Amino acid sequence: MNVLQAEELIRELIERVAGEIGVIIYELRPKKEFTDEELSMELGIEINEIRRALFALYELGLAEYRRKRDDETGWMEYYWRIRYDKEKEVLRRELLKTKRKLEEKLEDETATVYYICVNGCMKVNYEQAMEFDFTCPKCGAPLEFFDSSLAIEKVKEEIRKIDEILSNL
Amino acid sequence: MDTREEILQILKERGEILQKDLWKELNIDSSKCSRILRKLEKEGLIKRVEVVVDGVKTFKIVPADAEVEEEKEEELSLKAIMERMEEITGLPPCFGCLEKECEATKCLKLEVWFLKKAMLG
Repeated sequence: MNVLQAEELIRELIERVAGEIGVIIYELRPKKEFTDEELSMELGIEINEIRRALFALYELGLAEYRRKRDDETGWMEYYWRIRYDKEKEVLRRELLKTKRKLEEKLEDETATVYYICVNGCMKVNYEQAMEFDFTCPKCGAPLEFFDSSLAIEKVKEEIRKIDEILSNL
Repeated sequence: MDTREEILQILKERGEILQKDLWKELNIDSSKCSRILRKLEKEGLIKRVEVVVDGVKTFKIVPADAEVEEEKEEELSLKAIMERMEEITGLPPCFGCLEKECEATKCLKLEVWFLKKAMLG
């Protein structure tokens, strides 16, 4: 995979999990450890928002912290570090998980016949649809056979795409 | 200001906050946060309302005197979710999803992504 594609993917991932502020922090590429407070001052962003983004990056595996009690104030200080070295590992993990979930979905959709409310209230399997007499219990509209063939093709395509990214990662 | 006061302050300013956001903001761990919240609720200072956010249960924290509508368990209203997820395109929502124990076939977000594929390609 070229560098650009990896960069786009990691940005997309961070944006989903840690929001725009997460992306800003990540792209700042701080050289050394920093506290949430320092970062808040430097970026002019509310400290709570910085903390939230940092913890999201932490949950993702892209940041770590150590805690140290401040001798003067007695407060716990968090010293943060972004784990740029983990970037590929995290991307790979997320892509593999996504692929696994798509495969689960694919299997279910291939094996089950679904009916869907024409107004989009619900999607139920054949047995449930029969129980409801093919009428949506919420809005009274008909429950119609759900043709998943196009979506199934799209999911397969998506899996192929992920495989390709993975093989180049 | 100690953590308890900080929580009450946040509620005063914003009216409500999700528990899952609160502990991150306060820089405390989730179990400590829920311990404090349970205590605050017992003392009648706050209310914890169970809500489902993106298919995951959490508590919405509100001041004790807030009027809370009984929130119904989130149902599979595809239409509503689809409207909410207008911007989700590209890679499926699993990419970057931090839900630890999930079943792909029961995930509303994935369902919506799938339906969009079925309709829009």
